[in-house]
Amino acid sequence: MFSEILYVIFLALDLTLLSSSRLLHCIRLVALQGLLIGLMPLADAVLRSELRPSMALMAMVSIVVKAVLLPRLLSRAMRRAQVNRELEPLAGYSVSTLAALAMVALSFVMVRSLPLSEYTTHPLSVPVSLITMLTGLFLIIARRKALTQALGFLVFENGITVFGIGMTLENSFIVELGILLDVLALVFIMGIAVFHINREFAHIDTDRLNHLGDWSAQEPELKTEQDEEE
Amino acid sequence: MSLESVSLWVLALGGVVSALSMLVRRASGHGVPAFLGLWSCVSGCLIGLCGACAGLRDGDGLSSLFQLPVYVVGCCAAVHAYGYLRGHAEGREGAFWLFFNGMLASMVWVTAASGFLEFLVAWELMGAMSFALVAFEYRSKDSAGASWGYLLACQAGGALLMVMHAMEGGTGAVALAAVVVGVLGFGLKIGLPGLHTWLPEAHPAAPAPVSAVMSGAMIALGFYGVLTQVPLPSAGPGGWRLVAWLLAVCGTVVMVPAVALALAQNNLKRLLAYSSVENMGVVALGLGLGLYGHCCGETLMGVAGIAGASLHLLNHALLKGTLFLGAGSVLRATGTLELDSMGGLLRRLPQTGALFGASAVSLSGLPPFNGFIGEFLIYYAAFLGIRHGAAGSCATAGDLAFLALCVLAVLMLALTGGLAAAAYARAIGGAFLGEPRTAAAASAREVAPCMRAAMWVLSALSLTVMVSSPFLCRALMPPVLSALGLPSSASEVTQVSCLLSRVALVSGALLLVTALVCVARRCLPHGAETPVRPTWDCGYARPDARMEYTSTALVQPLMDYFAPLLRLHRRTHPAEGLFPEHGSVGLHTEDLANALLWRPLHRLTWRVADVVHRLQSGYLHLYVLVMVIALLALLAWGWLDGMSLSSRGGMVK
Repeated sequence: MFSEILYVIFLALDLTLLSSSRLLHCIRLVALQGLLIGLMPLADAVLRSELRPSMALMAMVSIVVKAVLLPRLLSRAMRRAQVNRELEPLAGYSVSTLAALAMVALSFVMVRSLPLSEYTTHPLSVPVSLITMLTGLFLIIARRKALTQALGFLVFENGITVFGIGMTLENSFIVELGILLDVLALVFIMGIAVFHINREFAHIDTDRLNHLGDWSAQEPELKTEQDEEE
Repeated sequence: MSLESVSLWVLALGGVVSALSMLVRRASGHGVPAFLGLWSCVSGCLIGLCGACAGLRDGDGLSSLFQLPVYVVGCCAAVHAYGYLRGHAEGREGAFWLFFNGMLASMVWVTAASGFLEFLVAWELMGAMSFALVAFEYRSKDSAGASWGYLLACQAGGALLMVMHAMEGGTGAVALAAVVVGVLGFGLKIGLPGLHTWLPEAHPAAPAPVSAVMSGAMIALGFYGVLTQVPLPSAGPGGWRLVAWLLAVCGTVVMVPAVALALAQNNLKRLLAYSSVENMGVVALGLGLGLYGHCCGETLMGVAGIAGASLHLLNHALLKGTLFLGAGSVLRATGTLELDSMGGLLRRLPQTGALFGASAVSLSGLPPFNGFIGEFLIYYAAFLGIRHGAAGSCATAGDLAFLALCVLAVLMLALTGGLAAAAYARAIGGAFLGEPRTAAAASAREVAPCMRAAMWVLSALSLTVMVSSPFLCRALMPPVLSALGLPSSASEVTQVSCLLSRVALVSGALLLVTALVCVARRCLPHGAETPVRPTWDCGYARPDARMEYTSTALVQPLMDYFAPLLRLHRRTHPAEGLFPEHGSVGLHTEDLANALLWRPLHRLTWRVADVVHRLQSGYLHLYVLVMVIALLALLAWGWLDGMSLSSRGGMVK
């Protein structure tokens, strides 16, 4: 019952994330997701009264990194870049909400026929993890700001972790630590990159970064290049 | 440890040590790396040669047969390369020897590999090593295009082999399709019709010793692949028949166009490369006839075809090795490969010229030389095929078609022989006879002794093969036949070698008489000096090199016959005015396979790439979207699969 509530809260956080435009709010939502991810296996183990020290340690590390450290880094980058809102997302917020509903439907329908059910601890874990992953990818695709995309990556990673928790993989401790390290490094780099992008271009819109390439995909320029070669 | 693996290690380590010594003593120049590379290569080849000879007696006959040219040509080419590179390698001798030894070692490995995976690794390694060598003179104008083309051909061949392997184990049509794909994959190396276009590009770009090894030994390994790696057992008895048909048809089709293109080339090494395509066609025809003979129970035809193919393979390795090394010597002496800027080289490079001429005549398949022997046996097999068909047992349409193919093959083989003679007449006439057309040709000097020695050794071996062909046939055929899984058929082998001994006797007698006449002629005017006279001037008062027929003019009437095949077009700039200064006529040809197959394919690739290129817009969002779509598609696939599984399970219940 308790873990069911956690899964449902997780799902609700996904949906809220997709429909909110304030960056600080989004960061807080992701931090809350991180906290829940730390709690989930812990709650499970406490309820079954088979809590091991390694599991507790893992939960602690996960909560510290995902709920405290990463949100801090991101909100600091946000403050230094002086952006508050995702103003013109590539897909609007109502469209995003509709897409989220579609994702929920798709995940629940699909999971029914995926040959996974015998390994899962909880019937909700696989659909919720799928929805979380899709939400993360949707954030990366449909938002402009580099910060939101970093958030999308974090959400995607949360989805993977939920999947891992649901499947109770062997030796998941080491794997999870590795993933955590990866994510930490990524967010560090992203935080620094966001600051520098903002300083150079006075914006952090990733869709305008393609002007940095050596060549552009626009037709007329291609033709002149070919002419020069000939 | 067998001799084969000893030679492999000597070659590989020698190459590596040579390259390392280049790095250590960069300032020392030619000396140390070349010395190390040369001696490791020669000793590795000689050790391996002993191993291959022993292997013919009591080992795998087929791999020994294909190792022989690798060792012999590799050894001589290495000796030639020592002189060829001197002063022209820009301090990169070590790299050359690394790749050269590596190429030879990987070729040996190809013939020694046990499983398909090992074979594929060796095969790709061979392609990579030879690619590095083709690109060795990377500063020259044509090198980049030629080496990329060669790399593409290697990669495409490797990809086809993987497809073949994936289709292995299928039954029925899939098994036959696997055979076809395998023949195509190896055909890219052999130069089957349409797949040969890398040869005339890569050979002129590569250093001459490398061309000699590639042409003499490497492309022949494609046949080894066809015979050993193509999954014939799963295709059943139809598999051998299919391979026989494919090889025979490809051989028949490729010969005449290839030799006509050879005729049209002005670049000496391009001419030789096209001639290689033609000779591989002859070998393919012989193998095809031989395999078909075994399939339909005509054992004599089978033995004659396979023996002809094997002997022609060896002869081609020796002769084409000599010719490419000769072309390299000419390049070093004159600085050019264009026939129309040579001329009169026989007087300036007497030994190189004589050896080149003798090998060229031999490779045209003219009787007293060894190039004739293999073609003779293939003729014999084709005539046996005609007799088999005409004897009235043409029960099926396939037999009738094979009768027609045999008749066509005999005609094409005859035509090819004549045209090859014309092509080599062009090469010899343009390069060695007449008067020099440029100052560089006029000031040419005979090349270094080691370059001549390599050609001498190869020519001497050619002569040996000619005289000893009956013994060679008797030694080669039983192990080769048993390696192919065919019956040993001793009486047929004896029959074929008796036939060969008659040919060898007549040829030997002819050569002996000719040699005696020459000696007698030399001795007759005792004491008198033979005066050196100018080239005959055709009655002109003051002949000039510009009045000579160019080598293109020599073969122009023949080229006109094959104009549609060569896509011949003439560019004329007539002399104008009362006192004309300039005027020119040029004949330009194009490979039909390029025009009909590769250029349209190239254009199609560009068009597709243009469309795909739009995806590469620089938008991160788009990239992620494409990945997500792919992931969702996979997920949906799994979903549908699960649905169908559960519904099937429901039906079972």
